[in-house]
Amino acid sequence: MKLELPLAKVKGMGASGEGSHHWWRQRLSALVLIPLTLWFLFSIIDQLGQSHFAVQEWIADPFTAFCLILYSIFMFYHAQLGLQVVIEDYVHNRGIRLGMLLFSKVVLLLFGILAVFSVLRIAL
Amino acid sequence: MAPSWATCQTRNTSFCLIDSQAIKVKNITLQFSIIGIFEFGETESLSTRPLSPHLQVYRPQITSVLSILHRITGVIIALGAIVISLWIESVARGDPWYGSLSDLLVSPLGKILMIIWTLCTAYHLCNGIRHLAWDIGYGFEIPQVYRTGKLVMVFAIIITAGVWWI
Amino acid sequence: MAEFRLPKNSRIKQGGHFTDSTSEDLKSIYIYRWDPDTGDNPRMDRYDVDTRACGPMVLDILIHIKNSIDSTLTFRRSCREGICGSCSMNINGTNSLACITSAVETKGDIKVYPLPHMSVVKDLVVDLSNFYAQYTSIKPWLQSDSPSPDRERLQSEEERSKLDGLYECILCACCSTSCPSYWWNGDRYLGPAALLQAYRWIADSRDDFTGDRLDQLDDAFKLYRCHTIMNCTRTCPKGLNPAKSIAHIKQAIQERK
Repeated sequence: MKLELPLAKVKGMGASGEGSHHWWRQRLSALVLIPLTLWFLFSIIDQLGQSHFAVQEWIADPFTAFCLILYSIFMFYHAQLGLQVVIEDYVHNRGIRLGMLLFSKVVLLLFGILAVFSVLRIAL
Repeated sequence: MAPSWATCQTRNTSFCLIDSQAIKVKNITLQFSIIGIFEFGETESLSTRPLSPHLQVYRPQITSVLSILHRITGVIIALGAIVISLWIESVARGDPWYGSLSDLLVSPLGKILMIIWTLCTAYHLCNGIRHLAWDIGYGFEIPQVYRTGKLVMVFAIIITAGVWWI
Repeated sequence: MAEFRLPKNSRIKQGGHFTDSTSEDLKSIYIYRWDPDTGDNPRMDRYDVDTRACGPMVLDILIHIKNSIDSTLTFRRSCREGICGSCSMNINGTNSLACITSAVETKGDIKVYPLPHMSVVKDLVVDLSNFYAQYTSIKPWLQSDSPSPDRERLQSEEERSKLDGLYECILCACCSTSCPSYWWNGDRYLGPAALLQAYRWIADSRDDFTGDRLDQLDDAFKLYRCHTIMNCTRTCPKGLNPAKSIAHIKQAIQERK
């Protein structure tokens, strides 16, 4: 039986002082992603079904490589921030939540690094 | 008479009587001085209370539907990002990696998935701009919310069509 | 995991059917019923009401039913003119005040449920103790270290106008209980109503605890569970804009960095 009064429950352990930081980084990465996503959408479709050589040429172009690296970094970062909010919203068990947060962070970090290094390998 | 505690619990409420005095039931001398009655939010007896219906009865409307779409498309884009990173890796490795992944992507099923991914990206992009406008304080009146919401859907389709068929 | 389905004891069953003795101008209204004394699951009772026998609003119909069909029907009501905020409930899929929601202008049947995702005390009455505690937690009173003046604390017209659209809130809980984020995290997220009130004191030029108020809101759950879904603003029976107030709080927290 819990006899804790509602106000004590609401106040809990107080404010963590951290929410705004996450929120701000999510907005900033979103802002950077607006032009990058438009560029990516309109240029990636042309590359589909092209020969390996043509695609290699395209990625090796300094402008493409630069944009692609920026896009990968910001998209995976933004995805991590977004998924974190989704997991926090729906997963209430502390242990499972921590596990899922860690898993999503590690997976997105690994694939982000993979994308950046692949571009560098092709371009350099 | 010394103050004593009495905790009462009925089926659906539980409360405390503090400092109850002179309880003589047989001779009908019931004398209480109740200092405080507290209703507690969550006791075992309260758990029989039902939860009122929510998703089951709340009418879907542009506000909530576009919001959950933003979330769903976000998760789909995150999954698509993994495919993109694998695709770049396949380019770096060369054939046969590149050839087999490229064949998968241009197959009919691959194309459908990519069109869905494009639509999700375009929607998330447009609705994201709508969210950024809200964050700096614009577009909060309900008619504006509905107008921009419809605009976002139209633009998402236009961008997708533009990317694939122009 | 957030529970999207209703718990077993909350699933709604079909209820009874009651009709006014007259057979003219009948309107069907379905009402959520739950009796704490029987322990049965909630049910939807149907009442066919003679609309000429009662006033035009949904609350008028509820009062008519309680007076002449079923006196056990339980609901909160007081002012019957949209200023007390007692008769908030879910009417045809959106939260509103029964006293200012027209029944005659509603085409077809009317469905009435208690405020969504709340603990039901009886019929249309829900437990608001968590909601009120959230309101208390934002300290809804003027806090000031300035010496008390021997007259009113002055405000310019411009400063006063910042409170328009905030002070009118009647704490009916329509907005908070319309918010999906509040449904899943109502134990930690303060909800639109409490946050609008928090902003009402942040925006008040006479209050000099703005910094402390912002400190107490800078939390991933208390404030930032708001994802600008906008259900709150869509549903507010007083036409206020909780979503906008929350955006202003987020801006203020950013501004002082």
